[in-house]
Amino acid sequence: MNTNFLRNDMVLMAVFTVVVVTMPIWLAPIGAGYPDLLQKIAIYGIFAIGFNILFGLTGYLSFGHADFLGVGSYAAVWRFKLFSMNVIPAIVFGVAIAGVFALLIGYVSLRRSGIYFSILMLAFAQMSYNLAYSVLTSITNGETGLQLLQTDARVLDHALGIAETGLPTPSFFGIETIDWSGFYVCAVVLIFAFFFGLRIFRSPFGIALRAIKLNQNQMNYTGFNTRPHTLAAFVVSGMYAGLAGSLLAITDPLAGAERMQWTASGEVVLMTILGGAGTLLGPLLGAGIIKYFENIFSAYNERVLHGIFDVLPDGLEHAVVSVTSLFVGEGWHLTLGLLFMLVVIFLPGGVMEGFRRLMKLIRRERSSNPAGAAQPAE
Amino acid sequence: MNDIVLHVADVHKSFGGLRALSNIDLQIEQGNTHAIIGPNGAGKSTLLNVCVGRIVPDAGAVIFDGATLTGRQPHEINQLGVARVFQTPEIFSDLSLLHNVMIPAFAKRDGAFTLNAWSGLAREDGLRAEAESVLKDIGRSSTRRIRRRRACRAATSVGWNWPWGSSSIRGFFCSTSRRPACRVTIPTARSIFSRRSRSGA
Repeated sequence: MNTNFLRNDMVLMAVFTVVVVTMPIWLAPIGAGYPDLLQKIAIYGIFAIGFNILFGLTGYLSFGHADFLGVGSYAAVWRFKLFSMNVIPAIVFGVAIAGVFALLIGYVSLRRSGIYFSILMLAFAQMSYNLAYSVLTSITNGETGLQLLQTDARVLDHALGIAETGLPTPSFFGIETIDWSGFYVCAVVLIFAFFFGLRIFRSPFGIALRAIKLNQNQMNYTGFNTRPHTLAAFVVSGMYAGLAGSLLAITDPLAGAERMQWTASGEVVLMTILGGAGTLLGPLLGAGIIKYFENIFSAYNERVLHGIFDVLPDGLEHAVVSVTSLFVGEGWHLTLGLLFMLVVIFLPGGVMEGFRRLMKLIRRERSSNPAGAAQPAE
Repeated sequence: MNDIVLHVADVHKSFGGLRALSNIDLQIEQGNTHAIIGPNGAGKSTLLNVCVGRIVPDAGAVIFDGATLTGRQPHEINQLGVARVFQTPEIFSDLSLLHNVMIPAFAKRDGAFTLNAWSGLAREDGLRAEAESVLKDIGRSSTRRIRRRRACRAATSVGWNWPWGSSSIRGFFCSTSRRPACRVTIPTARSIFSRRSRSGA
C-alpha cells in the first residue's frame, strides 16, 4: 500500500509535467495558446500554490500576500540592475528576500489568528504599497516603476565583458527569457514548485499543518508547538510568492508597486477559493481560470459584440449588446464576481469539489449498473 | 512506597471574587488511580486545567517528576509526559482515523517542532505500524476518512464500550498512542487521575 502511495504521486507528477509542458498545444484551440497568457497562468499558479500552503493547509487567510510578490519582483529587478541579467541568481535573490520579509512580518502577525491576522496582513501589504510610493521611491522608483536602464551597473556582466546592444533582456545563460522560452522557464519552475508543494502536502509537517487548521488548541495539548509550525508555513508561502514575483520580473523586467496592492492580494484569494482551498491542484486551476477569463473577456469590446450578435434584429441587437457589454472589457470583473458567487454558493469546495462530485456520480452510475464489471474499490 | 509522580503543591486560583481552588495539596503516586469528586463548580476542572497548563494558578506549583509544570506552555507540559483527555470531542475531523492517531505519535518521536516537510508520510512505516497497532488494540484498523459519528459506530461495532462516552474518542487515542506517564481524564460525572506505568506499556 505504501508503494502504491509513492507510485500514485509519481504518476501525478508525470502527468502534471506532461500537461504543463504541452499547455501551448492543448490551450491553443480555446485561444489561450500564446506565451504572454501562459506565462501569467504559470506564475500566478505558483503564487496560488504557495498561498494555499498558508490558507488551505494551515488555515490562515492572508489578505496581503501580494506584498511578497512585489518584494520578490523588486529584488529580482535590483539583482538585474546591479549584477547580471542571468535569471537563476535573480530568482534565488527574489525568493530569499521575500523569505526574510515573510519571516519578519509573520513573526509579528502570526500572534493573532482568524480575522485579526487577515486584517494585520492587509495592513502590512497596504503599508508596503504606500511606502513604495512615498518614502522608498529611491528603491522602488515610485509610480514609474523600477526598470532596467542602460546606465545600470551590472557589475558581473560588465566584468565578463558581455556585449550589450540596446536595453538588455533577462537571459538563462544566453537564452532570452521572453516569449516561448520565457514560458518554458516558468513552466519548469512551476513543475518544481508543484513538486515541492506535493511533498509538503504528503509530509508529517503537512499533516501537522492540517491539524493546526482544524484545532490549533488541541495540537498544543498534543505536544506540538504550533508557533514555529505556522511561521514555517508562512515563510514557505511567502517564498512561493517571492518566486512568482521574480518570475514576473524575469518575463518582463519592470516592477511596480501596484503588484502589492490589495486587489492583487484579493485575486490570489479568489483563485484559491475558486479552484478549491486545501486541494493540491485547485489553486492552480483557479489561477488558470481567472487569468484565462481575464484575457478573453477583457479583449471583447462593443464592436466585437455587435459582430457576434449581428444576426439579431436591430433593436434587440442593441439591447443585447448594451447588457452584455457590461460584462466584458473593463467590466469583466462583473463576470468574475458572478462566477465566484456561483462557485461559492453551489460548490463551496471550488472547482475541485465539482470534479469530485462528478467522479462520484460516474462511480454510482457504474455500480448501479448490474452488467458493469467494475466494482467499487472498497 | 513513596513514589510521588505528580505533586500539586499549595495551589490557589481565584476568578475575580470566586475562589475556585484554595490551598490544594495533592500527591499522586505511581501506579495508582485517583478520583476527584465534587459537585458542579467545586473546581475539579480548574484543578486539571492547572495541571495541563491551561490555567495558571495564582500561587503554588504543580511538579511532575521533579519538573515544575507551572508557567510552562501546554505543549511543553505534554512533552514532559502529562496528557489530558477532554470531555468534549477533540478530534481532527477532516483527517483520517489513522492520521488522527499518528499525530500524537509524531509529537512523541519528533518533539514539539521538527520541520520534516520533505520526508513523505508513505515512508513512515514504523509510526504507521505503531498507530495501526493502537487502532487494532481498540478493534479498528482503517485508513478511511471518518467523521466522529462513524468513529463511534466503529467503536460500537466491535463491542467496545467507550468508558467516557463516544465523544472523547480522539482524546483517548491521543493518550494511548503517546503512552504518557500520566493521563488526566474528566469523565462527565467524576474526575480520574490515572497513572500508567512509565515504561509505556
